[in-house]
Amino acid sequence: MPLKVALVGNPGVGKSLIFNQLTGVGVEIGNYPGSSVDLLSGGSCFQHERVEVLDLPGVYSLEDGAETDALVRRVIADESVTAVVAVLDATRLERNLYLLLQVAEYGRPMIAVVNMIDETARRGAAIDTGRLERLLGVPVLATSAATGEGIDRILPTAVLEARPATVEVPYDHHVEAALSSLSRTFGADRREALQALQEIGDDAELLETAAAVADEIGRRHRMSASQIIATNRHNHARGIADEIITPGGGAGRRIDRLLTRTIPGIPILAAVLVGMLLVVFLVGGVLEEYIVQAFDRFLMVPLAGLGLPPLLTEVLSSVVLALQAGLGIAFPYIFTFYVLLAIVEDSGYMSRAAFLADRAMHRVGLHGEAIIPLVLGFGCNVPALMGTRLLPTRRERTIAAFMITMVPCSARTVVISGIVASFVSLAAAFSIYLMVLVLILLTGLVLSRVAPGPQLGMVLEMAPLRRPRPDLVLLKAWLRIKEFLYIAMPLLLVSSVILGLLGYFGVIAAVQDAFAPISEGLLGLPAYASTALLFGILRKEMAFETLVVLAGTAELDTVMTSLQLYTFAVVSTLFVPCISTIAVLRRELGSRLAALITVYTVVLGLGIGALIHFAAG
Amino acid sequence: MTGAHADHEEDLLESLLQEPVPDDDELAARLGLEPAVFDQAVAAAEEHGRIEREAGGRFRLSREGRRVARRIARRHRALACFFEELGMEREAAEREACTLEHGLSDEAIARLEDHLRCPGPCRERPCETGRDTDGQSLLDYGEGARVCITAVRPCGRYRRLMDMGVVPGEEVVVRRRLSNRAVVIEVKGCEIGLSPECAATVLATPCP
Repeated sequence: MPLKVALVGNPGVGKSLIFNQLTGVGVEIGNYPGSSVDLLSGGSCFQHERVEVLDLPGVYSLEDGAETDALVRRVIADESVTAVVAVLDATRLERNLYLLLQVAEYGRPMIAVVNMIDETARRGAAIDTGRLERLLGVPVLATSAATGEGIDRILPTAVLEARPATVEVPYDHHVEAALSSLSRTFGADRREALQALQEIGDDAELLETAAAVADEIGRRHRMSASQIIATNRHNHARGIADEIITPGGGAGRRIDRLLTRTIPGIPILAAVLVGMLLVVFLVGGVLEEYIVQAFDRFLMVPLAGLGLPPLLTEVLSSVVLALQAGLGIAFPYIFTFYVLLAIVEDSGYMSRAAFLADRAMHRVGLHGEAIIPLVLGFGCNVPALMGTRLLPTRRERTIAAFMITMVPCSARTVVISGIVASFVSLAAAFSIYLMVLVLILLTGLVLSRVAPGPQLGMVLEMAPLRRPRPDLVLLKAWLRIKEFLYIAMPLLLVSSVILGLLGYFGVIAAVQDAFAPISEGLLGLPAYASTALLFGILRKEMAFETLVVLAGTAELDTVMTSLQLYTFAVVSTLFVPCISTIAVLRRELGSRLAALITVYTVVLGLGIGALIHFAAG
Repeated sequence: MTGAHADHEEDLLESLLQEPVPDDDELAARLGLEPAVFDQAVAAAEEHGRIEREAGGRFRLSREGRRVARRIARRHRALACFFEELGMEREAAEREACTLEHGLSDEAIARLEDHLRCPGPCRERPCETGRDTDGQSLLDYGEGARVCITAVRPCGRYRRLMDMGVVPGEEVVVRRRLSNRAVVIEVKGCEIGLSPECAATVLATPCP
């Protein structure tokens, strides 16, 4: 059986950094069978044997009832996993031990890694890992992923010395009575019974009985069974922490006070967001030009000169066009954006932003947490929609999905900047942003009214502010862009070839004629503009490129009026998410909502376009 | 169907597990039910296809009925066992289990059904607002206050709060209060931000 090691820990304990050092290159993002939560896996070697390392999503508990927790539970219980590596943050050891105690209840071979040990030393604190080893009954390593200290010992220890923990949380006597009752009547082991008392498990009958018992416990304690269990675990974790930690001084938090005050916190937040967009705009624009030119010079032109049969030329140039646009967008705009985003996230600023934005987000039926996927949407809607999984309720995920789909992603930025900023004016380009943002807010306001549901509130850890590490920032950005390329690229290639063929066989012309009344009558645009809009479904920036091709000139202002250009940009920004976005919407929220959102954006785009046409024309 | 009716039907099914099956009158007497109530229970069980009448006029559990009855009996045993573990005499435990089993409130049953329908985060229930009569919540303390948590209302995102260490008896410090009423507290050496509706569910008193 191949060796398999799984890293488990709270968010922000440095798991990813350890994972990165253990595996080097060849990291894959995949789905664990039967789950849609992403899981990182990578290969490593130990004594000439391949070791698969799994980086599980960061969790605070195994029993939260969220999808990620369910995934982590399944991996830990999985017999094919050789060893579980519980990664702990030395500076927040007590709370990290709470998770470890839950992991220990699975009785699987494990080791514990106390990471960020250098941080504790800097604060003058000390941790007795030898003592911890005796208390837990598993090997304990002290490491610092930042300096690389102790990382090389993780795999050897995990493979050779991992063993089931001996530590056992003593629970309240009512809980213990319930555990032995459930074990006697159902044969449930300690861990199964504990989870059943907290409404977690697959056996309906066991759950039903456990609920009856948990209710009785709750009545006697005036506290729910799950609260009692959590309190027992926390107390045990504290006991262990008290025994092994020699405390030092605290860390400073002066900057933090500034960031989380309304003033100057909110202006700083606004400046950070606008600054990010500006950098993406500038850097992306320059880089994109180089990439597009390189493609033209080294692929497009030679291809046209080959003298191949026309059909083949059409197919090949469709492929090149897809690659050109895909890479021309992905790297300059999206990658730049992801690098900036990773800096903001790794510095710990994101949780401050979420905290500040909580009330504003409330108005649109969301919480501060939702600002993270929304901001992500400015890069690309696809990963932003995947990010909505963090939100606690389906209602919030739905509202966020509607809003994200409307967020002007980098491809739409290309359309706005290429058409409006270049040929109309910069102010007009910004007015489109403003208009779209207002529409997004209105959509959120309306949805939060018509989709009533529970507002559960936000509980968010404020990770300490840190200086982001360049290598990690790049890695994070790289993994994200890879995910984008995996999802978007195949769709781009296939649909580009199909569209090329449709054009070749004259179907596009027929469609253009059919849509001419809408284009000319409703929006006041030339007939070929409808074709360009249709191509925009494939990839938003293609609306711009197709328009140039069909207009027969790159000087668009010679064939269309400013108003027409403006209308075109607004409609193509608003209407129909691109095909990759629709695919992700379907995967995350189901076909019905994906269709609903698509129809909504079509109506909105055409409606606003017509409004501009008739109001200004 | 109300909780009580469901209970009577369950009692009926469980008693039919015993052999030999008593006749109707004896059955009703054993269950301690009025004839009218007994008939209702029988009608309900018949409607659910859980019992059928034998040629001799006595009741018999259907295959489905037997399954349900076994499940009820097992729950009963588990509860009795729970009380026994707590040190009750066997007979007292049985009695307690009996009353408790049916003391399950409709709310508890509804919650359980909810769970079976949608396992996962949708189990989290929103908190009713305007019920903070039983003490001061985190919202009532200023920055720098050191407070002891007395209770966390089991609603909203209390699971996450618990996992972060916000449990009764824990000492926390209010670090920051924002103009949007959100608060940052320090618990177990970590800072966590709570939106107002979450902060309102955490009841606390000043530390001694």
